[in-house]
Amino acid sequence: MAETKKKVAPSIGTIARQGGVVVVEVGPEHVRYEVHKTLLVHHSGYFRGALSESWREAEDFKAVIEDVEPTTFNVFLSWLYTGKTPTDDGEWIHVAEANIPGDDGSSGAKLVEVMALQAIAFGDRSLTPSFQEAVRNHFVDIHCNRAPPQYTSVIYAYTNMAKDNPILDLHAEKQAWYWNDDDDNEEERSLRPELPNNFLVRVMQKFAALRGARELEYEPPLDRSKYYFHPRKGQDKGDSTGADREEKHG
Amino acid sequence: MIAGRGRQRIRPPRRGLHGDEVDFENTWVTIEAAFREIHTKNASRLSYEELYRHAYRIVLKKKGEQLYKNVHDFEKGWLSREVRGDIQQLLSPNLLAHAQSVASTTANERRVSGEKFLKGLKQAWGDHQVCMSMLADVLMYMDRVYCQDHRRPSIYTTAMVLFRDEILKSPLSATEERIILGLLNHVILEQIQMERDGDVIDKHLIKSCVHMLDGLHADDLESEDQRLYHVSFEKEYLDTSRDFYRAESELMLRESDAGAYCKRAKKRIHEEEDRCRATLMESTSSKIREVVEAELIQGRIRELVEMDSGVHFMIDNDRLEELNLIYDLNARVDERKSEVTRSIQKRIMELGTEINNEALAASQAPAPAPPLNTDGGDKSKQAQEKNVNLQTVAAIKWVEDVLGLKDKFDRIWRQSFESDSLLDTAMFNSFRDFINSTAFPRSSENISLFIDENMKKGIKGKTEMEIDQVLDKAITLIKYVQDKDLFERYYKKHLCRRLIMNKSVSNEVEKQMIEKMKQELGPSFTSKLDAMFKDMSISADLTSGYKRHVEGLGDRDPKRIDLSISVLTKMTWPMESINGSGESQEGNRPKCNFPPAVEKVRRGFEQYYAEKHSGRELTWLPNMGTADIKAVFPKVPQKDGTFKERRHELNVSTYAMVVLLLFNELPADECLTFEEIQAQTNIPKNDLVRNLQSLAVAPRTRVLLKEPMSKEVKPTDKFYFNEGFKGNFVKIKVGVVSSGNKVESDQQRKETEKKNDDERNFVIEAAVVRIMKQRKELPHQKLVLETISQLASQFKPEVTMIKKRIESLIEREYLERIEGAAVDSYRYLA
Repeated sequence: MAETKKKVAPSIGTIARQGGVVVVEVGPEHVRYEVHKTLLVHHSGYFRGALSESWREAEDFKAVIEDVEPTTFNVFLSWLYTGKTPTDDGEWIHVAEANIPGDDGSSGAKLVEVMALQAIAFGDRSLTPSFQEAVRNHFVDIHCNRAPPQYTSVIYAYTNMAKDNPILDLHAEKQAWYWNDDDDNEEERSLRPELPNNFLVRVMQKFAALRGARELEYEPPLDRSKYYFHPRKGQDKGDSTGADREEKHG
Repeated sequence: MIAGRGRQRIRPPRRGLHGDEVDFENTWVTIEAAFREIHTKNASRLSYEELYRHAYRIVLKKKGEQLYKNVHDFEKGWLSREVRGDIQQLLSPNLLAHAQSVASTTANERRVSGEKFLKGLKQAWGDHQVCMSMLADVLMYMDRVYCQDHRRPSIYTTAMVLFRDEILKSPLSATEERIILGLLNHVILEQIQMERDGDVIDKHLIKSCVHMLDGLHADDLESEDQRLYHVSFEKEYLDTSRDFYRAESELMLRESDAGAYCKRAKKRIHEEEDRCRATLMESTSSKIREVVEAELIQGRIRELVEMDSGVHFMIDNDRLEELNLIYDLNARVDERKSEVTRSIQKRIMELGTEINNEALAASQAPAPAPPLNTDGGDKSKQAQEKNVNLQTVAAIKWVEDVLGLKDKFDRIWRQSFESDSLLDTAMFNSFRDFINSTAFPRSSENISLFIDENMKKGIKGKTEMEIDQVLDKAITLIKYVQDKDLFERYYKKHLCRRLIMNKSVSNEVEKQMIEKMKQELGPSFTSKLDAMFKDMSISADLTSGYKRHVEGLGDRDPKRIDLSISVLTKMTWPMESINGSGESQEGNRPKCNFPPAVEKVRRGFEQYYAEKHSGRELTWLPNMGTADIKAVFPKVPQKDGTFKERRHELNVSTYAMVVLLLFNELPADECLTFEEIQAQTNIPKNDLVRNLQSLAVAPRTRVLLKEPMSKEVKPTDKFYFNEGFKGNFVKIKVGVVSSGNKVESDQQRKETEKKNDDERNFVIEAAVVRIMKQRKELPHQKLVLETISQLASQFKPEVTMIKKRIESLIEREYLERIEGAAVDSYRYLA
């Protein structure tokens, strides 16, 4: 948003001198934060609205945001006060104060990926463009890699982000390029039924696009015999429903 | 929801609050209820978060368009049902009464009902803005995401347009065609008219409504020039103002004088300026000023200037403030201020011509009619003398009158015309025009006489600063003079007499004057004048040098004659004034026979001078010199009966000395006739007559006796030494008639002008040759123009004069005509 970029962010000195904190209660447990109003209002359109005019929030000096995780808000606050976002997973977990039971590094990475998406969504929701830019670019830098997306992340993004968010396309594209059936472990396989239909459609589209050029060069090597009806030994002709279904499926 | 593997339990992203779909209808019911609260001013306990979240989720789920439309429809419904009704409540019958029927209501009633209407509208507008800014806050996500992506105007903007369409453009009632906006304009204009008529109105109230109009646009693109204030109100304002001021201007021209008109006009202009600042928009300021100036000034200024009470009257009665007003008005519509300038110039010419004519009348006033003959010649001469004095006084009065006029207009210029440079030039031109008028050829002489008078008497007892002022005034006048060469001629003539006869009060002041001229007119103008001063200072050195030389010759001779000498360079000094006007030319002036004692001194000095400057010839000008003589008169009986010898020191002209010395060698009772004296001295007849008049006719200085005793000196008259001479003082000055600088007679003036023209011929020829030498070839027209411009600082040559000089130069083969040239052209012949 142009108007926030025009103004120079208030210095820490100014913020401290002006004082003036508001209470922000975050998540279903209403974790309580006290944040300098100057900073919130400067960076976030949402807080500018909430803390102006005669809203209850402005009167009570208190805002409640239940549908946001405290881990997300922690990262937001860190950025708000320092202008920085975490650079690696360890820092991310530290800053977000995420609770990881156990020490498996890969599970930490998966958690951070979802947390990053949550941060992007919060940047959007709170109309804090600079924050959104920082976390999204960070996410893209990390995740434009040669690996399929993890399904938790996919499910989160497709459920909580706007359909035109490019992250959704990133997920679909990665899936089309890098996914192999045997890569999915047990946990991933258990999530397959929950994969959003929209995601699957996009993957199909990406896949078709990838194949596109080759299609013209030679006939697809389809083997009809594979699909013809072959009566099983010792079976009646009348029992053909299974094969019908299979053909339709193809 | 995500079951972790093994020990890992990662908290899954919450999904409960972000349901896959959003129940638009139910959510909208919540939002609409809240909006209603906001519009009825019950919003204080509404949660921003809740409303924002609803709108956010609707937009996130791509239902932004539906939300946008619902909000739009909600606002439209609210305005058309609730707000419009409130406004229509305010329309009282006398507010709706058409302009034609306003007579039935009093101004006060109309003002009150108008204010009520404005207040209601202002309130509705204010409320709408507050509500919409709250709605816009809540719908911020929609504005930022949906509206930007789909290029929709923000909801706030949309709501403002709705106010315009649903309120301002709505009819006054079901049966009326007029719309609220029209009534609003009408009411504001009516209030402004009331203020113009002297009422007090609520400016803030109007300003609020004006701001509303300025915030709304006639089109939906919000282009700058489509503001409602601009397209709807301002135009009407300018139109009605134009009508009003046109009528007012006509009325004022009929009923007030020019001064009052100007005051009123200026007040109106300021009022409108204030109005734009306090009640309307600053951006209207220049437009309404144009209207007022067009109606009150543009078409009127000429009439105003020329009214009986106009500029002429103001000048004559020193109405400086009114002159300032009319100047200011004129300047507003015309940067050249032509009308005021024209009028001022006309008046200067009139007053200047009056001064010229007075001076001419005074100088032509016939001398008190001389009695016809008898011993008449003498009397008429005296009368003539008196007449010349009167004319000199008139000449100086002319200068003082011109200076007075200049002072008057300078004061007007400074105090009323803000020292405007255009008017300065215009006024300068008018002064120059009447001063150089062909009907008044005496300016140069008069100015020089004025300086002469001041140098001889005027500056006596004045402080340095006062003297400086006098000199500056003189310079001011000189600057007006076009024929600088003629002025120089007179100035040299007058300066010459002051220097040689030692008439100046202060040599310092003389030099200051020259210095000022040098600054103003350039060093070429003063070079000859400088040379005159140089001669004088060299002469002083010569005098003292010669004195030392004589002292060095031997013992002091008790009968030695002291010599004070002025050696004048012939080319520098105006010989015509040295030789005595209208008399024999310098070349054939008879040499005066000096008495032996004087002749000795003369030769002594010539010898001394020749040693210093060989090859220079000295010509003696006894007509310019004076001598101090110690004279002893025989004993005569005193009052107390004793006898006493009387000694006097006589200051006489050199000629008179020569004459008196003749009587030294003559026995007391013998006489000399006029012819004898003339034969012995060889003094020119006119000079001799004048000197003998001083010595034998003037009662106080009658050192000689004449027979017969009459005022006229005739060749047959006899002269005796007056042994019975009685003088009241030891020192006696024997003045020679007409030695001061007086105004010239017509005859003399003609001569002076002729001489000046002769010299101009040389100057013009020199200029033409100079130009042609440089250009080689030149068309006639160009040559004439260049010659005029080269000579502008000296005089303004007549074209015929230049033509004649060119002809003459061709004859003498300095130039030739170029044969066959398209236009007349000349070639320089080296």
